[in-house]
Amino acid sequence: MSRRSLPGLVVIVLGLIGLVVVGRDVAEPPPPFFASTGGTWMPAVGASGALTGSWYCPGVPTDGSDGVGGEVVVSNGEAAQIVGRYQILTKDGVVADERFTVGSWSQTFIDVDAVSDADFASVVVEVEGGAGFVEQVARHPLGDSVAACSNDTSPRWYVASGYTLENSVETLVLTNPFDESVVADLRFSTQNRQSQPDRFRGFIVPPRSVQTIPIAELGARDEPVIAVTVEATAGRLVVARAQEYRGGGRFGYDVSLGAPELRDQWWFADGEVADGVDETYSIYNPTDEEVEVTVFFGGLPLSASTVNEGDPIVVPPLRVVVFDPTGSNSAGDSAVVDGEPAADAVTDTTLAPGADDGFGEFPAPTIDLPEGRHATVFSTLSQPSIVVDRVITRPVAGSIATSVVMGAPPRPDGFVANTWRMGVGPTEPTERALVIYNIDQAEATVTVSVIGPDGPSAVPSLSDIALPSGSIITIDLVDSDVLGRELIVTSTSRVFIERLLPRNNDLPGRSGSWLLPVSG
Amino acid sequence: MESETHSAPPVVAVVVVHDPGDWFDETLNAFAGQDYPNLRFLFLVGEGESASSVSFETIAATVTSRLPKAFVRSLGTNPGFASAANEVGRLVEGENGFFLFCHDDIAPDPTAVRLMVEELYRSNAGAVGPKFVEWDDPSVLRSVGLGLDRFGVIDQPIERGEVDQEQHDGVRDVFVLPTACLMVRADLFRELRGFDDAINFYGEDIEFCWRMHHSGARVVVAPSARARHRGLLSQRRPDVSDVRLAARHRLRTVATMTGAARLPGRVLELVLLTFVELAVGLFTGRFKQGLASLAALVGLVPQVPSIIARRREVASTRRVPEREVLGLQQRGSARLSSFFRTRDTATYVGSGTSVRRWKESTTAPAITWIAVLILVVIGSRTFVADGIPMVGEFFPFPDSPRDLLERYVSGWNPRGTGATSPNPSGMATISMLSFATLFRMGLLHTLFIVGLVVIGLVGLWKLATVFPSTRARIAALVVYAASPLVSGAFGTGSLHVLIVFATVPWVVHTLRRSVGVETADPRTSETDVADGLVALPWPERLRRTAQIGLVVGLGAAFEPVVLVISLMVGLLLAVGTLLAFAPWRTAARYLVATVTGTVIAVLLNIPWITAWRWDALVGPPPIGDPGRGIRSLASFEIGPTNFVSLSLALYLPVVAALLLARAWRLTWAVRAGVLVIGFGALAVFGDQDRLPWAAPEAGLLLVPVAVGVAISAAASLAAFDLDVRGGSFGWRQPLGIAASAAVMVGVIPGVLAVAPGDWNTPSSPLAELVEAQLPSVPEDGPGDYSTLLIGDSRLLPVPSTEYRDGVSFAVLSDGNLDTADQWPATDRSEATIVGALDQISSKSTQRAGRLLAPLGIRYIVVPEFDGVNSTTTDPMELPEGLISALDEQLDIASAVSIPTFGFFENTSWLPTYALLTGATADASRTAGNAALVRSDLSQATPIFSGANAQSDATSGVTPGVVHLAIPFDDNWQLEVDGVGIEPRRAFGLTTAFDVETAGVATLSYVTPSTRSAVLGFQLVLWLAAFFVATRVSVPLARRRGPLVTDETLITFGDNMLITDGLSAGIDPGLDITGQIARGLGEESADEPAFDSVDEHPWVDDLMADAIEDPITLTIDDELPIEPPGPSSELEDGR
Repeated sequence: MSRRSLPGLVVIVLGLIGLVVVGRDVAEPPPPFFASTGGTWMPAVGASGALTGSWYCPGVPTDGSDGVGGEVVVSNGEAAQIVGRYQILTKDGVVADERFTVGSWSQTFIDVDAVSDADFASVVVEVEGGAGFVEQVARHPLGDSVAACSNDTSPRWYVASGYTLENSVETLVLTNPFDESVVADLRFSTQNRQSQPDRFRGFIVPPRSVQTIPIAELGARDEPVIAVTVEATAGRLVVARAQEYRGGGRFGYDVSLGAPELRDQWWFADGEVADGVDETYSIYNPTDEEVEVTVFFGGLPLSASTVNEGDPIVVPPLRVVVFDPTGSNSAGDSAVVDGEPAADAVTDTTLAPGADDGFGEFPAPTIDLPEGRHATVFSTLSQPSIVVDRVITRPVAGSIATSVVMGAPPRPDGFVANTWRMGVGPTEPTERALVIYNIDQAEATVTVSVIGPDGPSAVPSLSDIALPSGSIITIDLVDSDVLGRELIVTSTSRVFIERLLPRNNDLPGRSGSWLLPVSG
Repeated sequence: MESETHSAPPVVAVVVVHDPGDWFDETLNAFAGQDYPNLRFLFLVGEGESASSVSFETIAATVTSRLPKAFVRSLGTNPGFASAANEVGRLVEGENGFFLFCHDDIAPDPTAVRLMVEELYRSNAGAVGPKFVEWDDPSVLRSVGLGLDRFGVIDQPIERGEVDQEQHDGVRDVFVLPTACLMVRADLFRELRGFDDAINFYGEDIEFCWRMHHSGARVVVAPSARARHRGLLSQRRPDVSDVRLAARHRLRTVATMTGAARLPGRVLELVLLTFVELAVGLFTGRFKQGLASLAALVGLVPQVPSIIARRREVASTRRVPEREVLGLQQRGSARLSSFFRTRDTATYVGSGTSVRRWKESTTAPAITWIAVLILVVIGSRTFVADGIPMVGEFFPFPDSPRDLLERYVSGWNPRGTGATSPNPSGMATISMLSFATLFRMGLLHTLFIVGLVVIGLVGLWKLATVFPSTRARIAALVVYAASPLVSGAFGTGSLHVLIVFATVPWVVHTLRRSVGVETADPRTSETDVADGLVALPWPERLRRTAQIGLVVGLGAAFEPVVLVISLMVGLLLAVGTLLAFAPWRTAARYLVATVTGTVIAVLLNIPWITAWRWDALVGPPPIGDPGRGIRSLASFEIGPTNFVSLSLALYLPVVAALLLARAWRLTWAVRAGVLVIGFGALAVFGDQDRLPWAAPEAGLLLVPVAVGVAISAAASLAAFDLDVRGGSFGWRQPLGIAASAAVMVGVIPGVLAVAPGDWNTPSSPLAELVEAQLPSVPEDGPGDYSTLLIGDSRLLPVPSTEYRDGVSFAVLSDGNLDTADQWPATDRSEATIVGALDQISSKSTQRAGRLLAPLGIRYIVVPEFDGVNSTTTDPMELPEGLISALDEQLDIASAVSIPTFGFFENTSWLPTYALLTGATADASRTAGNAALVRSDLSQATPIFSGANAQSDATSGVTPGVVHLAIPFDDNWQLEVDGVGIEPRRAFGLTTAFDVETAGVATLSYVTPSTRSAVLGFQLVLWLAAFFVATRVSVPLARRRGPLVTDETLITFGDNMLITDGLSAGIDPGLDITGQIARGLGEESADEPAFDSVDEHPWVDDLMADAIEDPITLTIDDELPIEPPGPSSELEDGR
């Protein structure tokens, strides 16, 4: 070997070795990211500053019948006026496309049934600058229903608790606000079966239109619980359900959004144990995996708070489980709704009521809840996999009033708001109109502000209301200053807030819905 | 000794001298030692131009010290042999004598001149020449007269290296005699008007002898007269291209001397022969000769006027029917036949000297080349049969080269969103190349892409000529050819990698030639010569540096990163040179040559260089998950190649060469190793995104690694041949064998990769699918549009702009994709698109379609599978949230469901050329996203459908706004009924014209005047670089004046030396035909000249061939040859 070769040999051999050593260390790069996909939350009031904000309302009945109709309320809680545009969609397409303006600290009402004679009409509201928020009021002889409009569309929607016993009617309202058709597959789970009817494979929702699907027409009649999955194979849409309770121990009307995502936590503020109160929860697991669900009852004295960690609710795949915390449910008298295994759930299969489908019966957790209000939290350690609805029927003035509310999830990053807003409130003095659940174990206060002509101002009688740690309080909205006005409820702790609004139409009882959380 | 009574005809030896070396003393001594009594010398000295050249004064002193009576005259600069030798016609008067033309590197035997004179008389010839033997080894023949075929190609009747055993010593007629030592009758020389002035070097002998044959004079060789000949003109004048000049002069001679009736057929034959020569040369290492023939053939065209003139000049000397001359020529092609029967010599550089040795004679290179080319064709058979698929960067060439050239010239680049742009030089280059395929662009496309590999292989073969070992060269060729880079680049459609693959070997080759590193003498291993280094005169160094510039400039015309890689290559070669303890000057020259060549390359790419940015130089940044890993990088796995890990074996020779090699082989082993390490490190660190700057993609960086590995393989085999084999057994032998085995193992993946025939390219390339999905633009359709591509840059079929990690975007204009899409204009709409993407990703709006509308973006494509980087079995991860974010947009509709890409339509789009009215026209006067997102863009009507920058477009317009969806560019002009309208910005970005009255609008693009000027400058630069690099010169004026200012120096007359009182005055003008033979008396030309000759006893003796020493003169050493009689005007030798 030439002596001349030594330096080169050393450098090159060491270099080769070095490259091998360095080259072995390959860091795993982060996956490419464009936009957050886990951002779907419940309808929320965002910070202004966006170019535009779009709101997709669930839909209101506009078939022209007496007492049927609805309106959309655009609330502007800012000093600057809002300019926007709304489109009213029906099954025939766009029936109205108008610009609108909302003055500072005011609201604009869009009368939907004035321009639509279709069964249902949905409203898409685009607000320049992204400020404000939008809710809808669906008017019906069985009672008015208030619901927030969605900020977002989704290719998947879930409804956990349909009901068709004794002439009750559940109608799915599918809204496609886009310029392209949506192709969707629908799957149902009832007490005795789950199915994916061929008719609803590749169901087309034309561009900018609303399609309704009465569940009963699919053969899901007289079902105490019907869970639905709508999955778009092309496009995105908005899905709501219009529920008419007409029997079977239920009475009322509700139009609300489905759940655009499965979650691992669902919170409810307004549970109640009382004489004649029927409170059930429908837990829907549309996944292919069995899910164990833990239920926690809060808002109770610490000693009374309970959790069934050791005895979780088992929800089989593609099944819905009706959970009755007090065991008094007259409709689904068990904590289990039978169905067939997931593996057989691909096609339309029907089991005779009571037939053994291979699943055992799941005993309801034994829970001894005290009288009064309680909050309920359903959670699972599995990946986001469930949707939970609460159906509560309260006796009132010799009648009953049934209301169905889907649970509220925390934001995907765990955020729970301490400020909530409502554009549609009671127009007449209403006691216990707001139910507020303090999820923090800390003393807090709550203040209700009203948006007046000069901006928001705290209502003196509703300021600094004590909110004990982990407790539930109700607030009466009886002050004339707050009636028919946009309200802001602010807490010093994280809270969930439901509103119980009169059903109007001279009907007793309340219709429940969530306020809109203010996104941090 | 008894005095003879013969007369000796005067002979003037005309010696053309140029910058002679040490051998010149021997030459002079040989001249001085001639025994011919009537010999005078005329030295015509062409002065060298370099500082090291020997001065005229020195030469004159040297000559006169040995030949005091000699005339020594300066020619000034060296005009070439022919012009110099022709001066004798003026400097020597009279016809009764002989001219003996000599080079300055011959050494005739003392009797040579006399014997030639004797033979000239005896044979009654017009010219006679001696037998030439090797200078260093007189026992080896060099030539004994030459044959010639009808194509002007010399046919050497002796074998190379043939030992002189007097086997060729018979006097015989030949067709050509070298001018190295050529005796010609003075009258004949004058009648033929000397040599052809147009032939300065190489070929003047052929032309002159051909004319002699036409005149009827015999041309004979007198082997009894012997001269040693050094004959290394190519080394003495490296600035004079021997091959190209010889070819050019050969064809000029053929065109001049071939009869008019035969000329057309001869030209056709030459064309055919040239292509055969090219094909054969490709396999035999004589491709350069083939190219030279082709260039010479093409070069005949502009020479037609001068050839016609020359034919007229020589017509008067045609006295013999052409068929008789043809009968004297060889049949068939001397070149082709010589290939099969001869072998060649090569010049090797030793320690301070150059030697010419026999090259290894083997058919292995030819067989290897044939095998390699066959494998390339087999591997590309689908490409050849069906055309190149639109995989990766393999976009087709446009149908019209003119269109491409016009695009280049216009300065408008319609790619992307369009912009006035210094378009890439590659556009013009492709247009020029289309001449080669007679403008068949499909054929050119196939040849171009497949040919890039061949070009690279030829470059590497040329580079490997630094190794005098055939095995080494073959190893280098095979290793480079079998590199998985080839299959990977083809399989992934990586045109950039192929361009770099073709360029880098040539860069290294031209660099080492510019430095002066030549093939080293294989017998100098004992002296540990670091390099076979030759000293280059500065013109030659400049020429070779210009070649670097051309090579790099051509590569950069297509792929600017070639500049960066070339700089790195030069730097690493310099580092390797130092590391190998080679002279630091060599390293410095590498650096200087690299920098100079790169600067030339940069200048050649004016005006494109003004658009270069770092990310454009290095290509798209590695995005997302570039991490190929060390195994893939080391095995050159840039695409689908089976058993690619076997390529790792190629690194064994890298180390083995360092352990085994000595001398120059070691130097190259170190240089190769440094290339491997240097570029390997860049590839690894770039792969890991550890470099502080964006690195070129791995495939580009691996090309120099492959070159290094190939050189290492050659070095290890050369070392095994020269340093190991034959030595005592030890660890070196097994290591050498292992290195050889590793080469064989390492090439297996490359060989296997040819099996599929399509390099594993996908059957339905993504680009084809996208193109098929995009609708054409009919005249009355919805208007022109653009398409936005978003996704991982490795999936996007065109160069893209990084938006964020793992997400890039690019814009396609409508129309078919072609290769120009590889060169989008500088995207001034970038900020707008980024802004829109920001709004989409932050979910700030559901009307992002409006943000993209002013740019005419109608479709959005998100590639998912391209069948190469992302397959259904190994998919690349789509950027999270991209599809859903687009889905959420109210005015971006998911158009169709295609499994390979997401396809969306922007329902708010504006046609590229549109007439805006109403609210949309008003909106065009606003700016900013906030305004745009609330704009009503529905009132737009397409106009000027299919408009382009090359031609005006007309359309009827109504009052409104003519909107062009291109970033504001005032080179676009609009006239309505002949009245120009000032352009303005629309939407704060694009170009618009406010039309106030209805009329006929004409839209046109006006090329900036500065661009035309810059293009002219660029053309001049290219021509200048080409001329410098190729030694092409344009004679601006033919020199007519004498080279030497003196009047007549010598007069032939009756100055025949009388030794015995015999009357002088024999006219040696004897000729077989008698046509120009003339006796002393009045004899007619029809009479046989022999009659006249016979009257003279001296000649009679000669003719009788019975006199052993017909001219035996008593020469008094102290009394040199007497000057001629009164008629002589002999002057002092100086």
